[in-house]
Amino acid sequence: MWQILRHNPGAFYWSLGLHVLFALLLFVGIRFERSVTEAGGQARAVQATIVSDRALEQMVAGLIDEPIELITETPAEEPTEAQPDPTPGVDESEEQTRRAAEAIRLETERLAEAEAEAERLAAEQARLEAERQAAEEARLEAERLAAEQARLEAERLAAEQARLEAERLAAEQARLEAERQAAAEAARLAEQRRREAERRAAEQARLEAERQAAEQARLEAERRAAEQARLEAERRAAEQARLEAERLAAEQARLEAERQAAAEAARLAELRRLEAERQAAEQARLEAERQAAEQARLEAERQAAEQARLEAERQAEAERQRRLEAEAELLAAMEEERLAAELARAQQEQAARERAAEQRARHGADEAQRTLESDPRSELEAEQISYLTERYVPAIRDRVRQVWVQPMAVDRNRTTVVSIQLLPGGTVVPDSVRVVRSSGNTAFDQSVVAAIYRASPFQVPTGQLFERYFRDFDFTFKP
Amino acid sequence: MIRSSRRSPILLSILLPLLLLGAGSAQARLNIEVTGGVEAAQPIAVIPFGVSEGLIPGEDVAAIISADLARTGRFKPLPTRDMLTMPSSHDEVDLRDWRLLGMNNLVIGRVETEGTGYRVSFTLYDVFRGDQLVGSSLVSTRLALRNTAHRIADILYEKLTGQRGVAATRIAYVTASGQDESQILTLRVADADGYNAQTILSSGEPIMSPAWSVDGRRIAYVSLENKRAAIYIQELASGRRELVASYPGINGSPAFSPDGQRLAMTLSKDGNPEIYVLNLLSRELTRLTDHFAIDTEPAWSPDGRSIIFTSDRGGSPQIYRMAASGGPAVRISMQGDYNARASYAPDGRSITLVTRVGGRFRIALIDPERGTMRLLSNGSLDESPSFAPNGSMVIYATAHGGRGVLAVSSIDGGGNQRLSQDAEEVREPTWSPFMN
Repeated sequence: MWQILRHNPGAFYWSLGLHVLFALLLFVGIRFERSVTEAGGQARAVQATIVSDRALEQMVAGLIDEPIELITETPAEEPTEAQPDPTPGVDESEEQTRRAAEAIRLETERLAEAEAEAERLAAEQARLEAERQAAEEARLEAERLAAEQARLEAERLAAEQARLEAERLAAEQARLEAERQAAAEAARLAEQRRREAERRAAEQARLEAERQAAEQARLEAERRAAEQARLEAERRAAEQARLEAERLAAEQARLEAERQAAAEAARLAELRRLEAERQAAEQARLEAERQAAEQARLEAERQAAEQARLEAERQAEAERQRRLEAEAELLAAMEEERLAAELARAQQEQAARERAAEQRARHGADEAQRTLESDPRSELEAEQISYLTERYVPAIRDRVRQVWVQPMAVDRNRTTVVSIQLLPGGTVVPDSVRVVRSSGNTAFDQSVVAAIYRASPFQVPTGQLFERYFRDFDFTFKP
Repeated sequence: MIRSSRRSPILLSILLPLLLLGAGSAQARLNIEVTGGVEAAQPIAVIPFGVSEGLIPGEDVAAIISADLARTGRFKPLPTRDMLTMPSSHDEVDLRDWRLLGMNNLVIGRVETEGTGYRVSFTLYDVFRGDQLVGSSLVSTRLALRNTAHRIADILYEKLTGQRGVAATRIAYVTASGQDESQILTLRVADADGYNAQTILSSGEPIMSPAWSVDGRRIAYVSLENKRAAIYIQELASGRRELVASYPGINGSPAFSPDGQRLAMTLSKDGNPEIYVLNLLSRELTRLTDHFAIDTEPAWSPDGRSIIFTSDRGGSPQIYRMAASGGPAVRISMQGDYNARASYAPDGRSITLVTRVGGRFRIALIDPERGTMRLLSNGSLDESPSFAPNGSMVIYATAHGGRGVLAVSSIDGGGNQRLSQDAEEVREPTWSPFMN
């Protein structure tokens, strides 16, 4: 554009002017259109003016071919334009031209007159026209302005209404849209929830099915595994039994011999060890054994003497009784009542004596206990025993109880007493466990003996205390 | 003597009664008292019995003995596979082997041909003391080898426990097979381990309530073979039988009195089930109960002085006791809303019955003096409990795998074991008395 301005400024200014003109035309565009419309009205006004002049009327009738539109042109141009127009019309032929030239001369004269008249009328008409146009223009302008204003107002109102309508519609639409969307959203949510519920139900069903399937599979697997394990165990057991049987059949003699030899060797070794230990303890033990033997001898002697005495007494008593009976028989007739009473008394006395003797024998221990308590030496022993009791006895008792498996349903009143011998260190001397007092129930006695051997070795003291109390002692077992 | 006990060992240990051996000596002998070992089955090894050259006995004697001992609940036989050696004669025995295995007892034996049968010798060892507790031999026919094994088991059991064994006793029970029209019911007698079953009666109609006579030679039962209940007494050896009750209505639950001369039963001939006693010698029938409620399932006390029975006179089935001559009845089952089918232990101190606990029918033991109850079985449809003649076990029927099977419960807690190998439904077992 800048180049256009530089090379041809005239064109630019023309262009600018045209633009401005067009802008102006655009601004007053409506008036342009209106003026076209009003042109009809103007033409009628011209006709009204012409009617008043007869000459003009003729002239106009002659010029009927001239377009009416020319009147709308600028009045100054009307004649100049009207003149060239007929010229082509008279060129039809030379004859016509000549006649026409005569006619034109006449006509020219007439026209000169008419022209002056027309000029005057035209001037008049122009002046009227200008006035009318001005008035008309002012009116039009006012009307235009009013119309424009009305139009603008109407437009504004229409626009406003349209805007409001649009807004209302928009709002309505928005509301509807919102409602629709809300409904859609609700429907969607409901749908979603339904789907979700369905999905969950399906999922749960699937999971349940899977779980059941898994459970079944697991059970099946377990069952198979158990079955397989059982079969395997059976197979193994059968195999083992077969192998065992074969092995036993083939090698039992050899193994037995070997085992016996080994066992014999072990036994000999054990015996040697025991012997060595026994010899090591011999010095102390000899004394104990001597005392024990002495005690046993004394006890045996005492018991024998006691028994002999009791027997003698019993025999004497029997003899006496026989004698009394004989006497009673002899004296029955005379002193039956008296003798019977005496006999009864004698028997009661004897029974009392026997009971006393029994009690003496049975409660020897108690008496000895009493003796012991009064003996100054016993105080030391009581201390020792108290110490043992707290230090060693509970452990030994618990150890035995732990390994003692007693038979079921044994009478609660049964008691088994066993004596045992220990080596220093607490090992039970083999085959030393003796049932001193049987419970009368073989299985119970056996369980007791087995428990002692199972519990071996015991935790025992060493030295004097061992020799004194644990070399040889008793257990009492109660269910 | 140094005392101790589980309850207060330390306190009692401080008490020091001393046994003095010498009169003048202060020498004290230690005595440690032990109480309350674990009660459990005792370990025993029953070695497979040796056989003489070329002999193949029909039965595994040692296995039968082991099973018999195990069933008592008091012994735990060593499995054969755990045996290091299998001695069958005294010379081969080294007791130290068995000590190492923790066995209290060892049983060895041999089966040898004698005549047309066998001689079965056996020895029982005390493993820790090295003693031979029993050494003996029995002569057996070929067919009676199982029974011989049971008798050996009983000898061993009695030697060790002091109680008579029941391996050689028998059981009677009813089996059912087939359905509806084709149903076959049989009354059978078998060894106490369930083997060696023999059918003594077969019928298309129900057979119920078998009851042993005191001598074990006869069985009383209820049969509906003539389309109505009737009580018969059948002799086992000959199969001969006798109709003893066929009154209108119920003829049920026969029970021999301990003296064998009377038969208690339930009859409804007077309109309502009541307890009657039939004198088998005079054929005199005595009615013992008179109550509008049902009175049934009579059982005698071992001394024959009283009869216990089931009655719903209190609204629910419970056990009542009355004198054997009739008279007022006293309720003796105090727990539960269902107690039935009661029978006395041989010592008369306890009663076994069926009780309902939590909707399940289980076998229980009650002490009628103290009113206590102890459950023995763990099934849901357990029925017909019956004491072994030594009172150490109870046999009953239980549902297993959808059918009735026999089971044995050890009274002293040795557990429950199923017996039956019959394919049929098995019910109403009853244990025989000792067979002499």
